Order: sequence, then C-alpha cells, then structure tokens
Amino acid sequence: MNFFDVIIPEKIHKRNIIEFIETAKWFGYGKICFIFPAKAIKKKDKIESILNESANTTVKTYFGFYARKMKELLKLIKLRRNFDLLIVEGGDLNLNRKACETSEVDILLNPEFNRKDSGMNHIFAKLAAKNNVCLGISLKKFLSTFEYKEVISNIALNIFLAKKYGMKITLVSGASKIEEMVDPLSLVSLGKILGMELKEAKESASRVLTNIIEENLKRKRPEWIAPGIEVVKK
Amino acid sequence: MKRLKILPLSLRGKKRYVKVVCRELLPQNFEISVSNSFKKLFGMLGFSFAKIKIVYKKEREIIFKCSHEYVPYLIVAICIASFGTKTFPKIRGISGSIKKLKAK
Repeated sequence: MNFFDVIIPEKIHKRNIIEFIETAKWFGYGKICFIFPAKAIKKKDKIESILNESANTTVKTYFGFYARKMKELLKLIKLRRNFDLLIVEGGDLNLNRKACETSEVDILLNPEFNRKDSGMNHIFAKLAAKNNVCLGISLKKFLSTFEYKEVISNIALNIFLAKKYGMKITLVSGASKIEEMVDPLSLVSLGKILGMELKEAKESASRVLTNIIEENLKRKRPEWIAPGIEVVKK
Repeated sequence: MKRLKILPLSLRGKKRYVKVVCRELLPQNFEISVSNSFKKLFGMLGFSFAKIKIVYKKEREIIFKCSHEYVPYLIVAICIASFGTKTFPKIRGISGSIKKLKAK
C-alpha cells in the first residue's frame, strides 16, 4: 500500500529535508508532504528548488502551508493555486468553522487541540463534508496531549461525527523532527483504536491524501476554474 | 509438584507474533519502555489481557507475542516507546506462527 505522510519541519534546510525523505523511505512511505508556516510563503521558490534537488525516485514529495490564525488563512486562500496542500491547525472555534466552510482548505488538523470540548459538532461536520475538508489527526499532537482528561474521547467523538456525516479522515504523523517520524502501521493502529474500521484506517493513511493531492494538482492548471468546471479546447 | 494438564488448542486464546525491525541498534530497556507505555495508555487491565511476551531478540530485531485482539494496542505502544528517539522501529510483519514471521 502506498502510504502518505504529512511532515511539519522546523527548518527549511536541504540536509534536513533529505534526512526526512530517507527516513520516509525506510518506513515505506510512497509520498510525503512538507507543510510550512504561512509566513514561509515568501520562500516558496526556495522550498520548490530544495524539493526538486532532493527528489527521490521512491518517495514523491509535495509541499503546502498551514494557518493558525484567521489572517493567515485568508492570505493563503488568495494564493491557493501556488501550492499543493492547505492545512488549518484547529483549536480556535471561529477558525475551525471558517476551515469547514472553505472549500480551498484541505485538512482541518486536530480541531480539539487545547480545548476542553471536541472543537467540532454535527454542523461543522456537515459543512466540512460538503466542502471536501478532511479531519486530520496528528500523532504528534495526540502524544503531547493524551495524558490530559477527555482528549482521547474528544478525538473519538470527532471521528464518530466525521464517519456519520461523510467527512473524510486522515491520519498523519505531523513530525517536526526526524525522531518523531513513525511507521505507517502505527498510524493505522491508532485509527483502529480510536474507532475506525481497519479498511477505513488504512485508506485514511494512504488513499485519502493521495486523492486530495491529485485534485489539487488539477487546480494548478490554468484551465481549471472551479470544482467540476474546466475550460475545454475544441 | 504435580503439573496441570495442558489446555487443548481450541480452549487457548488466539495469539499473534509481531516482528519489529529497527534502523539503529535496539536500546537495552526497549521491552520495559514498551510495557510502561502500554500500561500508561491502556492501563493494567489492558496490559494483563494483552499477554505480551518477548519471544526473540537480536541486535536490531525483536519479536513480541500478544493476544490477537491487542495487536493494534501493542503497535501503538511500540510507537510511543520509541517516539522522539532515533530507534525508528518498523513493523516488518504480523503472523500467527513464528516460522512464517522469521522468513519475513
């Protein structure tokens, strides 16, 4: 199976990115996507050149950006065609809602982060399903917060809502250092423990993100206008 | 001392073997850290039902035996135990018999 992972590196260094790619190859990932903060959009050309230089035949690489604030999200939406993946790091209720309402957003990562509730309800789930926004579960954030009360049950609740209202789910490592990368089977196992079926868990660690990236690559073409609308030459 | 008669196969719980291969050498207390993380995440009850044992250990390989229902729990515990270290454990295979697993 062609597993897909999302990595959030701390630095934009060629050596660091090569090490990530080599580790991903060891774990058997087929594709990885590097996610950078919204500020790094100015360094887009540098990121692209580093990824092209460190291209590997076995592991395909993509890049994207994440937003933590509403301002950053609005800025990234305007420049959406320039990169492969747009992630919103959840936590703030307004930001969670905005992410669910926006079809340019690909993943809403950990909406329950730093909250006492799950950060999502049935309305958010319906909106997200309508706008093709995925629920992302990051293993790194899970490990940093699982000791706190109700965190695991909130994640399980979000998975339940996502399943019920047809929202897609993705399981990612969210590693910022090489030591935080994990085996894809442990992501699948985590999904199974949190209430997913084995087939669903496997798909959420592989096919879901691949489909999103394929759709986003179509968006980059000049013929693309909106989802389902394209300019066709006679 | 008199020994109990061995339970027939049909009455014993199902088991699975999990083979883990590391990129670096296995740390000395790897199995202890796995059991500690298992207890931390799933509690003593889960740990006792999982029946985790170490069957085989080499420089970079280790084979765990556990109840077939608790395989995902064990994999997550292995992942947590090595998180943040440069061990990079990879699940090479899961099988019902050691013979098949050693060939993987």
